[in-house]
Amino acid sequence: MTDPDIISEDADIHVRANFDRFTRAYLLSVLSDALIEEHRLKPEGHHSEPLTRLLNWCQTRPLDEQYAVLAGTDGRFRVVRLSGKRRVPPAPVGTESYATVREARHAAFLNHIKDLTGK
Amino acid sequence: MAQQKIFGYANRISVKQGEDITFYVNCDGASEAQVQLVRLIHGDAHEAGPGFQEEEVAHPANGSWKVKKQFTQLGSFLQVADPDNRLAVDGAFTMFCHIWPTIPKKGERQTLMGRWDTKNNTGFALAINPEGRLEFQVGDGKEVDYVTAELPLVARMWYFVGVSFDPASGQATLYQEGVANRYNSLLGKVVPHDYASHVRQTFRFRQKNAPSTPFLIAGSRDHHLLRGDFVSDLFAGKIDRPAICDRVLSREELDACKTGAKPNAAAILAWWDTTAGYSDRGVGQTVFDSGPHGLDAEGVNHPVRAMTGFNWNGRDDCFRLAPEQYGGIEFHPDAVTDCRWEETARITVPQDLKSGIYAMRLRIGPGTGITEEYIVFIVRPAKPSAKLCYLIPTASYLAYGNESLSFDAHIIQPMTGQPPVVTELDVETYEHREYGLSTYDHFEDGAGVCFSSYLRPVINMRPKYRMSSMNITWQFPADLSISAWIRHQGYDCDFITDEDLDREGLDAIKPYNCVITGTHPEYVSERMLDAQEDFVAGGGRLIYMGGNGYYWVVGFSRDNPACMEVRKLDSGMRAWAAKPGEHYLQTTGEKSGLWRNRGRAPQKLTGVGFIGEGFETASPYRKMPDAWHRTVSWITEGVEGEIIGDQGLAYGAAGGIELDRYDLSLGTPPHTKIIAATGGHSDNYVLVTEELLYAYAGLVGSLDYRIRGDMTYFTAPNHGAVFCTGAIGYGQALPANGFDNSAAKVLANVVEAFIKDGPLPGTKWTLEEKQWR
Repeated sequence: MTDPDIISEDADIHVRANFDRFTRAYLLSVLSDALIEEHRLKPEGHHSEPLTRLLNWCQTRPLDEQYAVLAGTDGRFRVVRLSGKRRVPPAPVGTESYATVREARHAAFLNHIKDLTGK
Repeated sequence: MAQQKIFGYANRISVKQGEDITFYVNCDGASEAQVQLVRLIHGDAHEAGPGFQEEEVAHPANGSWKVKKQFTQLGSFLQVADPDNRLAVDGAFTMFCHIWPTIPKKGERQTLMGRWDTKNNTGFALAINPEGRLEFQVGDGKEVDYVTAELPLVARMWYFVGVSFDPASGQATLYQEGVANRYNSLLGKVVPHDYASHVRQTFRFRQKNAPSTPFLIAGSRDHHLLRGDFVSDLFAGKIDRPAICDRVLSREELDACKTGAKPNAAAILAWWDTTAGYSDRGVGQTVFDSGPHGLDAEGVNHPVRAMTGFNWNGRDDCFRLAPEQYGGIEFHPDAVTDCRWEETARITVPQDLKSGIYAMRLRIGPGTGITEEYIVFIVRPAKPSAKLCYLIPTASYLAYGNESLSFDAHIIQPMTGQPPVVTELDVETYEHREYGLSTYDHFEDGAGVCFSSYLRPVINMRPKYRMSSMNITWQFPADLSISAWIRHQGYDCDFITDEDLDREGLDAIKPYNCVITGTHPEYVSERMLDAQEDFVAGGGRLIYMGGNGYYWVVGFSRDNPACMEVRKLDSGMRAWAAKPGEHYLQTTGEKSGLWRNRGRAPQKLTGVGFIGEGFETASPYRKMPDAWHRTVSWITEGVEGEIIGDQGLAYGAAGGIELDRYDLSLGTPPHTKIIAATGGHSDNYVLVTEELLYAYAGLVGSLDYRIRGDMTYFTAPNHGAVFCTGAIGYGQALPANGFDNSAAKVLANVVEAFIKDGPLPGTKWTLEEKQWR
């Protein structure tokens, strides 16, 4: 064996995908309108266990599946998605803008939910 | 019209009244900028505080400055001083070096060494081609000949590579052998790779040596119509002991060089001894040529030294033990420690300009966002005159300079608990990355950044800036909340910086009764720490205004105070981990990492040290029993009830962000009083890693009582004393409610006691009474 390319694929991604599969299964089982409302009303601080686990999943997704808030020069806030690639700026997600950081962060959370449910 | 943007920096971060300061500005889309000297009053627009405030200062330099596009040379490399062009070899030669490539298959050429002109395709160079294979090339300006290794190089493995070329026969012979041992490389010998490649080819063309082409190590000469000459084809990885000889070396001779042996002296044109120059105080940026011509090479943008070489044996963990094993010099194509722009303007600081925090404000076009720049500097008094001194933590500003955690760090969202809030300025600087990185970032090859300098625009060392990952002010703009409060109180105050303290030691602060720190003085050199310890022991009063302070061991080279070095290792809340054997500072020779791990936990000087951090929320303090002790009850005088700091610009209260704790086992002075403490933080607050021996569930704010910020006080010899807030957020609580709040009241009690000459309040009780609790 002489081809160093053999180490270019990271087998760890398969294990992560397996972990993510059963994490998503749990999260889908507890996801509810009430959970989403809990986040809307109080995005920071102490949360219920299902919301804590859901937020942990959102926050630890791969970088290119993460969202951020872009503070515009117009004073409005928009959701963007990180590229996960060095020096590649985040891309806009939709055209909605929000009056407050809190609303925009909740919108980012809803994008994670969309990714989770596929809807 | 081109997109308008303006960025700049100054040659100094601290300047005395009457001294000069030089500014360097890069501008797109405008040829003139409107310039105004301003005193910075408050840096954050948060609605709970006074908002952004600056004060325009009359100065002859105000008005219009001519500005232009300036270019930045990114990447670290070595430039050989060869005025007689001894390395413009027209005849036979051999070049070789040990290498440890980090991104061999980069998709771009990476030059290891040679005299190559990329624009004109002239000269000769040993390189790694875009597919990751060792390659040697010669060019005559019209044609280029190559010889390429059969096997790609494997990342993070040590190799010995070389080439011999004989223009008479046209024969070019590549030499590539792996030199991994049990310690020096990523992979061990259990991996069945074949690292060797030996290829010979007959070239049709010969090298043409242009007189102006420099001999470079880790890059090659390039040219752009507007920019002029620059260096491209930058290499990522380590190079150890490169050399060039004036004849073809045999396979047997190169086999000997592979072990580190020098070739026959008569053959050597240059043999850069990358292990020379070390002392127990570190090593500089000059790489010495031990060959006959003394063609020393100079590092540009701080190639990293004090790094393990190809022969590191895993036993000697510092260059002070075995410099011969520390020939590795690490290069990074995205490093920059000095933009080296042309001077835009130079001003003299007026003799009567009050000591404080100032900036040159530059505006083009709309004059907001990236069309507005503040080049910040601190004005020191020509002669100290105040009782109070604000020690501006510039070392920590450098550490965080241009951090881009929101975009690149997978840990940042779980750490902060929220999506970041980025601005146009963040996106612009992230995308272009021409102003370098912070010690919280990684280079493109994954290595941690250990150098940071202010000889480049530092976009987060300016007012109005919020750290995107946390959406609060951090470091410089947060520290403006303290200076705003000092001004509001009307205290006479002198301002100095970490740089001054590092260079002058105790003399810099000795004239003062009281030194007050910034919100997060995390990065500290030995001289800075010694000076503060001696200051307190000698009767000075220290107010440590933050959290996670006095934490990292850093070094400044004597000849370049603008550039700071840190290595992150062993334990501590750290963005990266230095590799084995690379834990010592090249600038000073000291072991870096945490001061705690060198026997100087922050508790020994301040009474408290880092215990936990969290974001999103903050808590007020609650008075602890000591608050009512007769020797210290003056500290909370005027604060009714038990709660302190229930307002603030950082998550709504004073007790948050990064928290410090009293801990007798780490050297908190035994007579320290805990005046107040936070507690019951959210589970976003986590225990710091240096506290961990075994990890277990529950090391979070709501489950672990240790995670809290302690407000402490102790007395020291000669009427000295130390007061600590125990939390970063305290400084940002001061401006809340028009500076009328309990956190500000407590601090005022302390400052007013500390700046007075003579004994402190509460010290006249008898010994027996002092023991009372």
